[in-house]
Amino acid sequence: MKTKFSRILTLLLAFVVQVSFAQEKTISGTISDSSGFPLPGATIVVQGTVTGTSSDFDGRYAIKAKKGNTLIFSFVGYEAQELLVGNQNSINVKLKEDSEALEEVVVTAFGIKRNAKNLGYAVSTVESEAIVENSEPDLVRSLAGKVAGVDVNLSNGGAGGASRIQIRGQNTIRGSSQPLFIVDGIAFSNNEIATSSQTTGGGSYESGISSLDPNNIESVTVLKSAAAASLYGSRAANGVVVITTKSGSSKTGATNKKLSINVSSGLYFEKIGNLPEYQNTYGPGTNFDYANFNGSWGARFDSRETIPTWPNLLNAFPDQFGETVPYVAQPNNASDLFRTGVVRDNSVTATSRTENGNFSVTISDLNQEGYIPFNSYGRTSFAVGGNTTLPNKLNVGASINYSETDQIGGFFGNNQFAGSASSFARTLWLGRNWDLNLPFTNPSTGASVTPNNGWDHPLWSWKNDKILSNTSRASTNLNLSYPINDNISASFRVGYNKYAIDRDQIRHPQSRASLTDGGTLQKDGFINTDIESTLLVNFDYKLSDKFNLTAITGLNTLDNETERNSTLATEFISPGIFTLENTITQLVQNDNGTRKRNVGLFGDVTLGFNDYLFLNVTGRNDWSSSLPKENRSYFYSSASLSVILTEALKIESDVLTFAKLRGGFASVGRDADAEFLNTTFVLGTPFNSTPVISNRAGLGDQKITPEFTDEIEFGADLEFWKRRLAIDFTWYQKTTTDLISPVSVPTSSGFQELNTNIGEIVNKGIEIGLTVVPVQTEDFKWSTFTTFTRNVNEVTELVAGVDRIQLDGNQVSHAQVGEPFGVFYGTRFARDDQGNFLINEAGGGIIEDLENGVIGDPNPDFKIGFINTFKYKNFTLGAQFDWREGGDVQSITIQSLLGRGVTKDTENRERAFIIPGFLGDGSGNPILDSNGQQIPNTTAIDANELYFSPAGGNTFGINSVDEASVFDGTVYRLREISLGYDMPTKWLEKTPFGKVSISAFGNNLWYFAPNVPKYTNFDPEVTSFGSSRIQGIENASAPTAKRFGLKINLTF
Amino acid sequence: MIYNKIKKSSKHLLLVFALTTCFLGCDSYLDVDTDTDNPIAAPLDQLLPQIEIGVTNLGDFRVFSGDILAVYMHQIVSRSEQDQYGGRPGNVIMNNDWNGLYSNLNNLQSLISQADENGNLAYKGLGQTLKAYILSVGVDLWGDIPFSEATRLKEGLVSPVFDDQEVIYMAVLDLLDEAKANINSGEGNVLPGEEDLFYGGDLEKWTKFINTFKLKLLNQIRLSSLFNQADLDALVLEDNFFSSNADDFQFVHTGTIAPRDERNQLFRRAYGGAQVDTYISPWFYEIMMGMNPNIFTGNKDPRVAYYWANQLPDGVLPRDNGVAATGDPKADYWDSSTGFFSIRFGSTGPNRDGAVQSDATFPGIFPCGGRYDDNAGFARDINSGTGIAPRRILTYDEFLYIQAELMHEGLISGDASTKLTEALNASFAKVDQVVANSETTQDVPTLTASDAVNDYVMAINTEFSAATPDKQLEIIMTQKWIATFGDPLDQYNDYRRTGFPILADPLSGNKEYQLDNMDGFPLNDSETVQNNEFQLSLFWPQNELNANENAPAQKDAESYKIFWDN
Repeated sequence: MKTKFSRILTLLLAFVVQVSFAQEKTISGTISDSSGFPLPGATIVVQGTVTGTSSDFDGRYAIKAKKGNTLIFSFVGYEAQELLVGNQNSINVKLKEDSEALEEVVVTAFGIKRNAKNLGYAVSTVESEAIVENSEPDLVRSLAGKVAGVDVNLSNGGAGGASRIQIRGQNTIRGSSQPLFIVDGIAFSNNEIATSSQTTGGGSYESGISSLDPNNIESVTVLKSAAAASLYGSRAANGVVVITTKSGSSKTGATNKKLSINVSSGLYFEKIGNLPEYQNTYGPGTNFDYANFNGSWGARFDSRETIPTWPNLLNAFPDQFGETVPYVAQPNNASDLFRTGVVRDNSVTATSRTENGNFSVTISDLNQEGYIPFNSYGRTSFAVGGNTTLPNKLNVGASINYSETDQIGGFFGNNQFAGSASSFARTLWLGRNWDLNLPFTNPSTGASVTPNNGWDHPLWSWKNDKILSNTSRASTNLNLSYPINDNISASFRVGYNKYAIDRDQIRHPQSRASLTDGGTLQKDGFINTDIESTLLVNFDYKLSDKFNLTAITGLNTLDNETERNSTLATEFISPGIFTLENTITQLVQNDNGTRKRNVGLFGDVTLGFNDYLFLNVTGRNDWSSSLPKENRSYFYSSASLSVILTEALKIESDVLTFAKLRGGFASVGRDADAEFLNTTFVLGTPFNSTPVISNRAGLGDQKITPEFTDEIEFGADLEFWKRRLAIDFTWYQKTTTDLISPVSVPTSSGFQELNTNIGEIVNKGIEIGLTVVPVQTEDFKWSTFTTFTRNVNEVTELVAGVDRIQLDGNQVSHAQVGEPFGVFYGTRFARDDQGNFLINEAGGGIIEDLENGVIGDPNPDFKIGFINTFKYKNFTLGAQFDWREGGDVQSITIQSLLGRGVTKDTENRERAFIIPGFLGDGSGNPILDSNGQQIPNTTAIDANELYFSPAGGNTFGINSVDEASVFDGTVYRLREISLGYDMPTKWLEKTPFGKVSISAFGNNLWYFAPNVPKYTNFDPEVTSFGSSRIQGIENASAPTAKRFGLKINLTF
Repeated sequence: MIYNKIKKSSKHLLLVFALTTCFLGCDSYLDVDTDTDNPIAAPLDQLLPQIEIGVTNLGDFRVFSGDILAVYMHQIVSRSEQDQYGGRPGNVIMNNDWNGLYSNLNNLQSLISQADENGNLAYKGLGQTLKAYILSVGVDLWGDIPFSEATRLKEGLVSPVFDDQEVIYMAVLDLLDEAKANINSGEGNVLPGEEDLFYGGDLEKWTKFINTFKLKLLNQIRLSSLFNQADLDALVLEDNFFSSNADDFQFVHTGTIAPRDERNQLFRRAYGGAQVDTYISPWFYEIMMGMNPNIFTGNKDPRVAYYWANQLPDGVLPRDNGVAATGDPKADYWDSSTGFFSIRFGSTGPNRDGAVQSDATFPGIFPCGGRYDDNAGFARDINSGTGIAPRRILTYDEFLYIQAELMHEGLISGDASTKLTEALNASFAKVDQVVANSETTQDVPTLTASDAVNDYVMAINTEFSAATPDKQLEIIMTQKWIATFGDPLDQYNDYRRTGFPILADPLSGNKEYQLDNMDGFPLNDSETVQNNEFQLSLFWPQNELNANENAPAQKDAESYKIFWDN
């Protein structure tokens, strides 16, 4: 009865209103997506007026309009719809997803969703397909070339090896400028734990991010600018990669409300990317005479029939060889060492999405056998998560992820250091007649047998000298959110993320590395634990018709704990058992831990004016445990402004369909690493049971202050012809001051390092993302996306008293004032004032300059990624080309290929060479004749000496100055190519499948580096130091891999 | 209802805020940056052995400059850059000595200041002695080095200036006097004991060392303006020097492999190295074999079998490279009659770079605890010797050679010839002592008082008596050079001071090496070259120059002299 009365009353009222205000009436209805799911927050505007409203949580709206008005319904990511108001009082609208609108809604700091069009800074989102479908087992590698401003260096081809990712250049000196990874709101440690130095024989170690399963990733957002990242505080100074996993997603709603299951299965084959082109005319020796040497500078193969059987092989296998063996080239001796690897990637995801919540489970298994025999990588992961809104509106979500990886790999690095043995010691520069298919294990000792000494047979090495790394990561996450009223909501999130590495490094008793110790087992354990909690209170007020205010305040606490335990055990007792128990002695190398805590209080206010002008201001205060007490509290802030010109100026052009200008300033403070201030003494290994102690190699400055990164950025987003052409452009300048870092000090100061505030680095850069759709018809579409990344780095200041800092004691990488970070500084050729070489008359080689100098810069001039997508009906063809311009590489591989005379580069050798230049003395000064003139060099050298320095001089290969092995790293690459096919839905109607797609992929199929010696086919992307700050240095690394295969995706 | 909800949840929020604000308030929440895994104090008895290990490393082999200096002094030959005096400014092992010197100086400062504060003067004296020692070595190798501003980073001194070498030497001499006074002061209740790896806390031996070492320094500067006869006379008058090889200043290595490899560093370098780079110099070989036409001609040294060990039995062709059919040894330097197999300094011969691991001759039982050459041939591996041989730094026989030199120069009284004989006998006794302590399982005969030794000493005496004064000095210095094999630091000093012994000259027009195997494959003297001049001091390590803004420009090592070098 009461209800009925209300209705009548309403009707009456409506009638009254109708009468009083003539035609004006209230239109109501629901706005939903094409599948009928309601869209909250959609905008409804009466065309030509300022009247507007937005839909509520259930997609419902109500607006006053007159008959004959046009209502415009719009929502981010959907095509706007215009409808004429007729007699009806209810209008339900289904909005079509706007396929052109890329990157519209983005997740920013702390999972805050923002309309990209409102942001005053640059943010990039990468679609999950782009990550999963390129067959890279590691997320970082997948991002190469896909995001403007993000620089990925792949390091090497070892399965599971770490790659370096850097956003907007290097802005720290202490370590690598890796961004902060946030997975489902919790810091995701990305440590690369190197058990031994990659100079002297480390492995291709994985980094923490490799434990993340790309199959479970829902979205990746890269917060490139400090303004975007600053809310995350200290850790975010290098940018942030925000990852939402399927299991951690709070996205509700779905295309169908039932459980959907997605099965994907990929099978890829992997081969060595490229090998040098070898000469097969000359064998080992010198002066065109055969000798059992490393360098192939000996007799022509057509000049003699046989050689004495290699003594090592004769001794080990007396019955298999006679006195002599044929003297013939082995053209395939290097390529025969490698195999075709296989990658199997299988994943099942079950997802359920309803209005009230969702639930998702992902189980994945990846198994990679690398192209290097005995090299493998595997990852198994399990993720489950979901969230639901309780009747009292409290939203509760939780997730658990667990993953385990296993990596088995060999040793790399420079074979020439005492106690080292690299599996690539000679692998790419074998003597041209060495047949490595011969037996290589001594039957009585188990040792490697090679034609000459000084190296282990690569197959023997890969089989017997191993690095086995097992990592496990468990992360759990609980989040609560509650809408307090229409304007205020609160959320709380707490997460726990534990990452553990357990590594065994085994050197077989017969390894070249174990000549003095009877074999070693190095057990290395590392555990990183993060506990993080964040409390957020969100405010959202419409101040007036024109002003909109949203604000967030938050409190973030972080507790990080690390633990390292490592033991070096020597001398195995029983053969073939590689356990600590089976060793004679065990030395504890590490047994220590650190703890670090950080508390941050922050606020973020956005003021919107008329939906086209947005001002965002943030501030954060951090308290950090790792800084001196008096400096542990520090504040920083940011401000950014964006204006949508097309809205503000009411530009209604078919050409310029969208234009936004943005700009901002941000500052991010940063603390030190845990125990950075340490001044304790260190215990050494007792000598003859006498304990010893000494000062640390590093001294902690007790007065350090926080490091600050200040960034200014300006940019524009322009769209033409409804995104047929779209460009986003950003310019930034980033200055990091009071850099906190250990600085190498002159050792005469008593220490090797001082942990202090050491200087200033400036990065300036340009990022451009260009979308072009050259062709678009009903069935066919060709779209391109080009990323352009250019960053210019300069170290502008170092602590007083220090000219430059060497980043690794054995490498040429330095930080030097006035030069880009990581610049190569080392020994170089002596030159006269005109730049001519100064020659040592006695040897005919170039004299070494007594003063070192800058000899290279590993930072590329720019990088371009050119992504093409062709869609024809259900077929999609994709191709990504990358272009890296510049960026020097110092390469032991190239130096050795030339110095050992094995490639076609050095085949033309039956002549003498005179290095053009003038004679010089031992101090690097020109020698003048009696007339005061410089004396041209006339000392001839042979090809061997041209690449293997004669005494007293330096040439262009082995035993020369550092400068001789530095090459320009420009490289063009076909990074990815793929062909996909989606089965038409109508074919699937009678099957249980909702979607079936199949695709074929190729990865790194082709590259060309124009400035390395032609026949070395060297890939300048190969480096040795993984994700560390030392870039551009290659120490006999494994070449990159190329990969191709098939992937099938089923949804039902 | 709605109001209530807000109120309720506000309460919760307040609670959370309160809790976390407490964390902020409670400063202790952030006080977690302490290293609980390492000690905050360094006890004297743990610092001292660490320092003594550091002292020993200076100029040692394997990763220190001994590898270079022994090549410059023509006892070892290498295929690395030190061949032909080619050590470069960036050389890693030179850098190791420099770093070691200063990290050790830093530890010494910790020890001295701590001992000073607590009045433990004996410890302080030991610290001062070792400080004086390492500083003198620093000057001997490099000349001007950081001293007055060194190891003061805690005071904010990042880039120490390089001080004048003579000033440092004066400070060294003063330090030794202070050290002696402190050691003999009897003050302080903590005395060094077993942890003192040199003398086991025997302060009398320390005093003897200080005096002997001071004598060595005075002899070294005898031609410089710093020399003061009165100082020398006073020291001689005190007459408290080494009196037997029980007083030797040397570091005793053990055969322990783990947790720390405590074996002799030259042994580890030679027998453990993956690549052979410690060839015995043919020049050294020919002098000791009596093959050198200039000195000790026809007088084969009885220590040969103790000094190096030939893998090849007599008459066996080098196995890795020799061609049996033709008899071509394909060897850069191979003595068919002894199996000695090596390469020449500055060789550019075609066989210099061959793989020779299983043929080459290796340092023997005396210099490094390697193999005693029983003339049976052997196959080198890490178990070919024990590695138990001391790192000799300043020994009794060396002291006697110093006395002989000073007598010969008329700076102290006494007969140089008699002293030389005494020194020679002490040198043979030293070999016997090293062998006796080496724990070798080989049967090694004693040298002392053997006929071969007596004959040898007598022949040297005869040669000495007949020699001109200059030749006599050459004989003293050459014998000292032989006796100190394995300790090239002082050899390098002596050569620069006196020009003796005479070293191989790859550019000489004369026949440099005398070896003739009569096999139709004679040595070709034109195959040796020398593309660099002798280095009168070592380059300052490039790393120091790169980092230190107060460092001088790199020197020309071929002309930069140490002040005592005339």
